[in-house]
Amino acid sequence: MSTRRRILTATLLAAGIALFGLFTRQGSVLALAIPFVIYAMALLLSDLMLKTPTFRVLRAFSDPRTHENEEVEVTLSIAHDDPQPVLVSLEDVVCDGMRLIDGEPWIVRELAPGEGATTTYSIAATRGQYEQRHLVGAVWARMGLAIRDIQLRHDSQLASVPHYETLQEIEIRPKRTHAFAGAIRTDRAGSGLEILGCREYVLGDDIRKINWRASARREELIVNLFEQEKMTDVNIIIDARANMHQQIGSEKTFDLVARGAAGVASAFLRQGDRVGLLIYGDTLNWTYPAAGRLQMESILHSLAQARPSSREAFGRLRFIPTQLFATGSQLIIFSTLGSEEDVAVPEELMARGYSVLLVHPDTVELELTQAVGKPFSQLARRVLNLHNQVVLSRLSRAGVGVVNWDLTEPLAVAFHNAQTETRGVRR
Amino acid sequence: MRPVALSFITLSGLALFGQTLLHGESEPVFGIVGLALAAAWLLLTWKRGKAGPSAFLIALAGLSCASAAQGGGVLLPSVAAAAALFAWDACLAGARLRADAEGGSRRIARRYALTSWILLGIGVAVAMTAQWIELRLSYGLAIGMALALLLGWLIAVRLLGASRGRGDDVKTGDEGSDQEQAGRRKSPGSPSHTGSIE
Repeated sequence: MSTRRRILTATLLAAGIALFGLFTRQGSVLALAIPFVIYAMALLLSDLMLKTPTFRVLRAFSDPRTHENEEVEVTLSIAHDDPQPVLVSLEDVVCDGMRLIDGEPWIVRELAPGEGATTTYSIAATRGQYEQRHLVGAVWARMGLAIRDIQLRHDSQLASVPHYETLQEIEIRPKRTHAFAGAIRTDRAGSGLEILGCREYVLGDDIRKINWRASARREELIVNLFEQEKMTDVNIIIDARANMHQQIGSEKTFDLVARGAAGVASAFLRQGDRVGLLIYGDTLNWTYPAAGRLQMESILHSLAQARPSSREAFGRLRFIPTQLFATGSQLIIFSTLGSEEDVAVPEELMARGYSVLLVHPDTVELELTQAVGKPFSQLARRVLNLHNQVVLSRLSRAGVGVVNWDLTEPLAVAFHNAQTETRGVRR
Repeated sequence: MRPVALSFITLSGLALFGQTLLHGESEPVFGIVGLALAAAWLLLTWKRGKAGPSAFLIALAGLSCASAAQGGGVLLPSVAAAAALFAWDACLAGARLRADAEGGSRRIARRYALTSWILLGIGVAVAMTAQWIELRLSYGLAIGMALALLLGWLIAVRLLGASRGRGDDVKTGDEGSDQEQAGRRKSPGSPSHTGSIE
C-alpha cells in the first residue's frame, strides 16, 4: 500500500470516528479521531519532505557467457547523488530460470551523501538468454514513516549456453563439398591422408607417392592415390515443435537435443567445416553456415534462446525452408518424427539431392525410468522399440543416415553404435 | 518490523480489555471481542509475517469507539485505536522490508518504531488534553469542526497530489553510458557481447 493510500485510510477512519462522535454527541468518541489525524498529518509531512535521489546502478556478472547451471557471481552496486543521507531498501529481481545459490541480492542500509553500497551474490541459470533489468525497493523517510516505492532499471545480459559433449569424428558423405581442404572424404583422388587406391606411375607424379612394395611385386612403378578431403556445409535442423518434446522427470527432452546439437556443431566446426543451424518451431531461427569459433558462439547463443513452440505456421515438418540450404549439402535433423508425414520428410530431402543424417532422440528408456514397476511397461517398451525400428529401417533403406539416440546415454555412444552398424553392413 | 507490529497489536488488545475491566460493567463484550481480535491478528502476523489486513484495524477502531461511547474515560480507547493504527502501519511497512537483511533492516525498524511510539504518545496526549479541557459540543461547533476537518483533508490531498504528480511510485535509475548501450546492441553471436557493465 502506497503512502498516499495509508494517508487516505487514516483520514477516512478519522472522519468516520469524528462523524460517529458527532452523531452520538460524545466528546470522548470524537477525541479518538485525534491520533488518526496526527498520524495522517505526520505521514503527509514526512512524505512531502522525502526526496527521491537519483541512483546509479551497476550490475556485473563474473562471466556474462556461462554454461547452464554453472555458478555466476553477480556484483550489484548502487550510489546516489543526494546531499542528504538516504535510507534505502532495494532488491535485485532475479529472472525466472535463475536460482539464487549464495549471497544477498538486496541492499538495505543508510547511504551517507555520495556513498555507495555493494552486494555480491551467486546464481545459476538454466539454458537461456537472460536480461536482468529491475531492482525494486523503497526509499524510507529518515524517521522511517513515509515510504516511497522505487524501481530502478539497469539492463544486464547473461547467456547461459548448453553444455555439450565432445564428439569424435562423425562420418558423413555429403554430395557436394567446397573447394577448400577439410576433413570430409569425397571418393575422389587428390591430396589427402586416406588411401583410395593405386595406379601406374605417370610422368609428373610425386615420387613420394610411389608404393614401393606394390612396384616391386608388379615390376613397374605404382603410385598410391589418396582420397581428397574437403570442407563442406553441414546444416543442423532442430525440430522444436512443442508436441515433439516433453519433460520426463527433471529432464526436458528439448534441453537434451540442444546439448546434442551443440556437440555435433562443435565436432564439425573443429574439423573445419561450415555449420549452419535451423531451429524449426517458433520463428525461423536460422544461423547462416560459417566456420570457426565465432560461429560456435553464434550457434550456442541460438541454442540458448531456443524454446519448443506450438506455432501453427511451423506445425508440419515438411514445410522446412529448403531454400536456406545449399544444394547437395549435408543436413543433420534432430527429430523424433511424430507422424507418418514427418517420416517422409527425410526421404523427400534425399530426393531433392541433400545428404541426410537423422538423429532420432529415443525417449523410451528415459520414460521407463519414470515408470518402474508399472504394469505393461515392458510390453510398451517392446511395442515402441519395434515401431522405432520399422521407421528407422525404412529411412535407412532410403539412404538416410540414422542415429538412434537413447536419451539415457551420451550422444557419442549413439554415433559410435550407428557407425559400427554401418561399417558392419558395408562389409 | 514484525516485533513492532506485534507490540502494537498486543497493546491494542490489552488496552481494550483494560477499559472493559475498569469501566465496562454494562457492556463487557467489547473488551473480550477486542482481545480475541487482537489475538487473531497477533497469530496471523506471527505466522505469516506480513498480514496487515485493514479489516482488523477497522474492527479494533470501531470497538474502541463503542467502548469510549460507554463512558469511563478516553485514555484506554484512544490507546487501543492508535495502537491498532500503528500495528496496521507496521505490518504494511514490514512487507517492504526484507526480514533477512540483517543490519540495515534493523536500523530502519528501530527508527520506525521510535517514530510510531512518539506519534502514539502525542496522539493519546492530545486526546486526553481535549477531554481534560471538556470541550462542549454544540451543533454549531460540531459543524464547524466537521467543515475544518473536511477542508484540512482536501488541502492534504491537494498537497500530496502536487508533490507527486501522477501516481506514487517513482522510477529512477541509470541506464548506463552511451558506450555501454552501444556494447549491448552488438550481435548476440559476438563473443565480445557481454551485456554487463564492468
